[in-house]
Amino acid sequence: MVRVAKILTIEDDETTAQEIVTELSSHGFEVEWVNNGKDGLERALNGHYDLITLDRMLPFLDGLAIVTLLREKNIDTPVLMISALSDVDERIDGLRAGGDDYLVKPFASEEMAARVEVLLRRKQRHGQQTQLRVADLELDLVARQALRAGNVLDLLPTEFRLLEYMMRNSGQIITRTMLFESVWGYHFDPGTNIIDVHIGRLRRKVDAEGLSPLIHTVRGSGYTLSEHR
Amino acid sequence: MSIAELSRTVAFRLNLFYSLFFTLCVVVLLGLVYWQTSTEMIRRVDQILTLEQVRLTSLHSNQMADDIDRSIQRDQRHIYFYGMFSPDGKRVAGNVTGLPRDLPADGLIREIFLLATDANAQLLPNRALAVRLDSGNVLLIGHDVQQIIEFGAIMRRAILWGGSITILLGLMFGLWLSMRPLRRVEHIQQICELIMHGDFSHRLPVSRHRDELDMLAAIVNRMLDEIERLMSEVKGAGDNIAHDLRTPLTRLRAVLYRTQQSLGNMPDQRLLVEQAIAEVDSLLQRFRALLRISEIENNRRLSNFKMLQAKDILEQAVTFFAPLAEDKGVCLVFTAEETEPIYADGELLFEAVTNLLDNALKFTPVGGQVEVLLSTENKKARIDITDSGIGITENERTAVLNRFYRGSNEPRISGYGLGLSIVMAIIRLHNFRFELNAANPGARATIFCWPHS
Repeated sequence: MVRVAKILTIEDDETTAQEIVTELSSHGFEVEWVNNGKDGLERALNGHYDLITLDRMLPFLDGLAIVTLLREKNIDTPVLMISALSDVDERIDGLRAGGDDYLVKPFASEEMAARVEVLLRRKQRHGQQTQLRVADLELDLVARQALRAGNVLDLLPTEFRLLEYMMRNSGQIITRTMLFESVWGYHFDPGTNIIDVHIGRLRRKVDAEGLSPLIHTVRGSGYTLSEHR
Repeated sequence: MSIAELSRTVAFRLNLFYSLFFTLCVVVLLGLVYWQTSTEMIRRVDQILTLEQVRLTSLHSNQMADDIDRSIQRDQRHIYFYGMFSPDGKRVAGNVTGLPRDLPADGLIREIFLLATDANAQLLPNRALAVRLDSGNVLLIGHDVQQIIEFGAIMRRAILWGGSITILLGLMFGLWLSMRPLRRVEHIQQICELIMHGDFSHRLPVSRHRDELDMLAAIVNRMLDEIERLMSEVKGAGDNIAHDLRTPLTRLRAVLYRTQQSLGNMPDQRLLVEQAIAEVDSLLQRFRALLRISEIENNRRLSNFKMLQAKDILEQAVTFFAPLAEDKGVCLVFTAEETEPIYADGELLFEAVTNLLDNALKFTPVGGQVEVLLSTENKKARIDITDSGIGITENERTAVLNRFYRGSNEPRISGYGLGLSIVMAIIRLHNFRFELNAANPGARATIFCWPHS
């Protein structure tokens, strides 16, 4: 039986905390919530969690300080920083201190859940993979080549990066913002359906006619790449 | 600061006025002295002549010639002229060569040139009179006024030089006087430039002198305080509304999302909820854009600025939009010249270009063209994004740059009208210049990528 992932939520705003707990529980995670930095740090240091969602601004002990301390103690639990500060510098500070991802408040619940899933998944991978495989789709990261059912796919560099990200996180819901951030490296709101257009092209190449589709649209959230719907 | 600038100051003009007035006074004073002195000197000469005439005519006629000779010998400075002429004009006594025609023997004193009998004598200006004696002879008495005339020339030169030097000194003093106030005005000008660029932390300098400039500066400073307060209030109110509404909207979206998830096999209801989610998403997007604008406007820190190649950013943006253009059937062309690196925040510049490209594609019909051109103007980078779409009218050009406005030419095309406001905020932060022009057909957006103050 698959072990249920344990998540620690450190968040002083009760409404936001409720939202996080409800959403993550509905994804089948076991969530513990503390409402201040001091207790949060104690638990993070002693308990064995698979992931921590951490508010950036907390009374008494700042989120940035907590993540810095955890990393100093060699605790590498993935940390999703959640903050009302959307400034680029704040994001950089958060990630530099040891946060693994940075989400700006207010956020869509499924965006948060999708990021949690991706972080959990990242932790399970060990070392750098050179080959990715989902069903009959293969990606050779060294030769920069993609194969579907044994046929070489003619991908543009952007499409290759998109596919790589989706395959690394296959089975997870991936939001448009996550794609824009990780494939293009920008953090503003592109505002149009342009990500959909890019996915559309990739999909036409990957899921050619007669093949069972691997890229699926998740209504209201984003996309997922998986063998099963 | 140039002489032309200095000469326009109030201090200089006042000083010029005073200098001219003072010079006039000097000239009038010297003129008056000259006029008084020369009149007095002439009067004395005339008096002497009259006395001499009375003295000589009271003598007997044969004593008179002796007296004239004695007087000439006594006069070592050679300033007196005497002459006694017989009725037929022959000189009987004296040191004058002849009786001038234009000196009638009526006893009136006239100004006239006389020539002495000396070997090397010159024609000299004289005050002179002639009278007919009882004997029928004519007596001439003259007094040399050369010195008085020379004194007049000296006085005129003095007036000329004195006046010129006074004016010159006045001008120089005026320029020097205007330097300090002008320097202060220039300082004020520099600070105003900063304030105009949105940096409200600056205030005009107020010195200890409490002069008229300080009084003005103090008033302007109070005004700036008030403007800053009002602006932050307005901005704060707008941002607070956007921020406060965003949280409940996000929660509303979460509830809708959960409802949709729980609706399992009821496709009609799911569709309705999905439509509601799309509406909330579009609202959230507007608020995000609004907050993004104030974020860019408030964030005056330039920590992410560095030298970069505009070409790289444009290439990335064009690649990003290429699939969308192709899907829409619009030809997206990119041409780039080699340009100097620009000082910019790469992410923000990308965001600005993305917004412009998004708009260009939105307003270009199928079969149209969008051209991205990187060229040089005076060796500096210039970005043009030209579309062959519906274009914009003259009136719309300014309005279109304001928050929320959308060109009325094509009301059906979706867009939140905030894209260009974001572009403007980014351009202002970079101190670049942005222009939006008609391209017949279509519109051309231009970014001039160098600092404009």
